[in-house]
Amino acid sequence: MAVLEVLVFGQLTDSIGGDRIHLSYVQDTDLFRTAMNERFPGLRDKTFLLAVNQELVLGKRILNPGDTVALLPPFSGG
Amino acid sequence: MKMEPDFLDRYQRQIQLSEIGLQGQQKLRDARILVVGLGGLGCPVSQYLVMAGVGCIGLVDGDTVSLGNLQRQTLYRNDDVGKSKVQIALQQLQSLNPSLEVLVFGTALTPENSLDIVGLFDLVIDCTDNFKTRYLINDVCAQLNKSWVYGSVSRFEGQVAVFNVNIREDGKAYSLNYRDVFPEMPKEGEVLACAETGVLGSVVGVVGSLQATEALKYFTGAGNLLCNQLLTYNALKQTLFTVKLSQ
Repeated sequence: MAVLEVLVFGQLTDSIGGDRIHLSYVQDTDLFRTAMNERFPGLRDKTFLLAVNQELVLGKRILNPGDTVALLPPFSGG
Repeated sequence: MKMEPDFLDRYQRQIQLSEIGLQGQQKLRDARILVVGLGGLGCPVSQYLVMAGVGCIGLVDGDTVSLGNLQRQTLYRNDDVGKSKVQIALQQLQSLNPSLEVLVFGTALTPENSLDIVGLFDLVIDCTDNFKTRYLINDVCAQLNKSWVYGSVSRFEGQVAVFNVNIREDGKAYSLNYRDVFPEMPKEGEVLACAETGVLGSVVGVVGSLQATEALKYFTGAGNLLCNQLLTYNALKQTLFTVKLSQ
């Protein structure tokens, strides 16, 4: 089955319960966000950037099976 | 160019590096760097910059030293609890390298003082522990066309990037800034601070060292800066993950 690899950073791991999961393939980043929010409701109100294959995505982007999608929140501590 | 008598001896290990050399060392002596926040990041950042021979360093922090700071804030000692951070830092940094200029601002960076303070320096290093000051640094640097080095920690992880770097000779194009990547400030309480989540002192030291390294590269021209990139360090896995930030 086609999947996406999802990497999660910082305190978002609390919402996911880990730092790496696999998600069934969806066609674009909008559908990805919807699927993630449904599976992990704790993500809904969180701020994070989305990177596909280690490149920042602003707006919507087409996804391919096997892509790696990273969720990176801003860090606060200093 | 006039040099202090011990200039070559003191910086010999850096001058030996072909990417730095005598020319790079002289650029560091002419550099003016502002460190905002003198906590877990600001301590190692300012120590490494002063030891490396950065000619003028500014320190902004309105806090006093507390016992809980001593687990990770390398400039302070037991006897310093209750004393002004910038005053202790000034003494420590001057004793490390007496020939350099250290300017201290015993206040938080605010919308009222930020233009005047940032305007005195060539580069800003964000060592703050809150989003409000970080967005202020970003906006003031954008207004004054200055670059800044972002660094922040969360538990065993850290992020580092260099924002707003002039990437064209005519000075009309700049690399992405923090607002391009995180347009909206997170809501109050959304991202927990180190006081709530905990942090390992040595991890803050690694992130501060990465920030200081980017600052030294910025002035000497050594290597490639982390501009249009966001680096995440994970101490539990000992991995680095870089995201390319495109316009």
